[in-house]
Amino acid sequence: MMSKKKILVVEDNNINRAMLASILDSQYEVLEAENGQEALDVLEQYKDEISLILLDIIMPVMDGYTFLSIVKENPNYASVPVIVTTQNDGESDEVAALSQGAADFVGKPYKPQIILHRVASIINLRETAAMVNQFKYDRLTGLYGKEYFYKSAREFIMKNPEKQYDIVCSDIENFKLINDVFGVPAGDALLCGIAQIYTQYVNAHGICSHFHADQFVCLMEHDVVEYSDDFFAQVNAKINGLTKVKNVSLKWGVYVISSAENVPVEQMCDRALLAARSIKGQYGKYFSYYDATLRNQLLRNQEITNEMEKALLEEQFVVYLQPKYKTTTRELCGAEALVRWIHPEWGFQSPGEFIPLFEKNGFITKLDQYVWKKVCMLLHEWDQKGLRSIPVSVNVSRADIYNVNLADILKGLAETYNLEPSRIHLEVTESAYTEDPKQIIETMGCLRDLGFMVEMDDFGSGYSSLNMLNQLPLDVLKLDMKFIQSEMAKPAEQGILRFIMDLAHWMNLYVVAEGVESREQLERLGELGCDYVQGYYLAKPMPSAAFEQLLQQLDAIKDME
Amino acid sequence: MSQFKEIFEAYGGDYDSTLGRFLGNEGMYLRLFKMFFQDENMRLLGSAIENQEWRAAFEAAHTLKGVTGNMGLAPLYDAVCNIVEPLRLDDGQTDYAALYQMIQQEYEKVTQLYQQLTEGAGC
Repeated sequence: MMSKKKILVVEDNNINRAMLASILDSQYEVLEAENGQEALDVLEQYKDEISLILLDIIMPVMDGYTFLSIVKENPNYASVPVIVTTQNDGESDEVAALSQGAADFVGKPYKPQIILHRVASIINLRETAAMVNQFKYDRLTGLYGKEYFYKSAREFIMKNPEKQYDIVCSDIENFKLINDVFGVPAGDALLCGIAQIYTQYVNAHGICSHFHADQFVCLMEHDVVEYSDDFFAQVNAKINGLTKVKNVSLKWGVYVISSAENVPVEQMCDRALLAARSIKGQYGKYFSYYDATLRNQLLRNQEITNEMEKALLEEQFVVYLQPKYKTTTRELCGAEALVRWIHPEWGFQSPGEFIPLFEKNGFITKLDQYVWKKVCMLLHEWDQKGLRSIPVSVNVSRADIYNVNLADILKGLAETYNLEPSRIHLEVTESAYTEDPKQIIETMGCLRDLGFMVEMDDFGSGYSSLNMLNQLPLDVLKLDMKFIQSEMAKPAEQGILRFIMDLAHWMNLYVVAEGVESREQLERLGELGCDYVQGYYLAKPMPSAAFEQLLQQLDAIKDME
Repeated sequence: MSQFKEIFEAYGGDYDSTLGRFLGNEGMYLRLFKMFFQDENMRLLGSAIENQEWRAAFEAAHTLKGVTGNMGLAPLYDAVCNIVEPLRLDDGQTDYAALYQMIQQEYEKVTQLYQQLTEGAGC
């Protein structure tokens, strides 16, 4: 059962007080006080448990006006509504009481129904207002909350049509890490400090809000500050001086509001946030303007996301194969499976665009599985046709290792299509290994035990740890093309390619060089002892039918010999 | 309890609107009526007028007005009103003693009313 709401009746006259109490006590718990001083004592005891005060304005000891002014000045009590009871014989008392913060008045003689209704509606009004107030301000920083900011920003812009405004927002890089390392109170102190700094900058020229976590959004007049990396670098430095949290890096996004565009405030904020996000991780870059490119990028991503499931069902994704050759003999000895998207309307889609998106949204696991299955089907088909059994490399994304029971799926495929697991080479990028070595070492180790071949892709493109290399369950080291290209540009004695080849061989790993683009590169790789080569100079990725022809030719040559 | 209504209206009160204020509860009315006789304001008004303390007289009369209004004691209420306004304006020319005397007379009637009501109700 809900306890009754409490009403404090402050009235010096016993009869009037008893009457009020009897009117109210069917619906409320009535607390009584004979004068202002007593009433303050009751307030001190119950604080905001009291829903409303009914106050007689003329009383001994402490009159109603004094009481009212004390209550309204004390933040603990100020929100408790006060209804003043007056004599109904002149406006002056009523006006004076209302001007001192009374919510309403009731006259004598009392009209119970009117009193009950006024009391109920004022309590209701204050409770609603209190709720709105909670959302109005962010509890931590005291800035506006998101919803209230949207509303106020709209009004601000509308009221000042002659002025130009921008939406400026900020994100803190790795804020979760800050909370984790320095503790939540330190993170909170940092946020409060940022709120203060923003309030100083924006001042009367706009409004600030704390959306959530580390996101702040301000509406400010266009020419209050000059946006530049120098300016934001200064603000960033100021923020670093606030608390014990050091090396805080913020990214700002600016959306310049144009009256020509009819964009809702919510969207303006999204766009500013998008601009801030676009420079995430870029050292020395503090701010970015929102522009249409970013928006188009986002729209494009959305289009791809909308289409991807359907594309998979309709088999718009096609497996292409890039031949792999033995360096010494130039003999075809395998292939790497690459996915191509041929959309019925958009045509050929760049993997450089959709693969990173699928990696982000998780769809990559479905696509990878699709490719694995297609590759297994191809290998099976070639086996049926009596073609040479070569291995094919497929990509294993980092998400695959977490999302699915990888070993079961791959084992299942190999069994279904009657393939030796060694025919399937699994490529995992070097960066995946360095980010979560334990999990990946375990999973890949298990797959290797099942007989699958494990390749480290893109070796040399990121940080390489020789120590880790030693612990990894690996069969093949695949050298990144950019690494090869830059090493090739150096004189032989200065490069470290030979060292890497020797190291790999010492560890019993085969080395595959990707991205071979010239005869020169090919010869050099041969000299260095690279086992296998792959690249445009030798053969581009091709549809499976074309690759099958290569296989058939290969066997024909063999037969002739 | 129909006697209550008759007695009250014979006195000059408006039964319906007054008892409406007490949620129709005659027992509650009588309980508060009894408190009325313990109220100090009648005596305070008398002594304030005697001592020519007009501010105190106004405050007492003002309170009395509120209480009698609430109790629906219309004739006494009217008599009190007659003194409240000049006291509020503090014109210095009013014969307050005479006005107070009229209030006393009405007060006496109210005392009788109370006796009638309590006898009638068998209290």
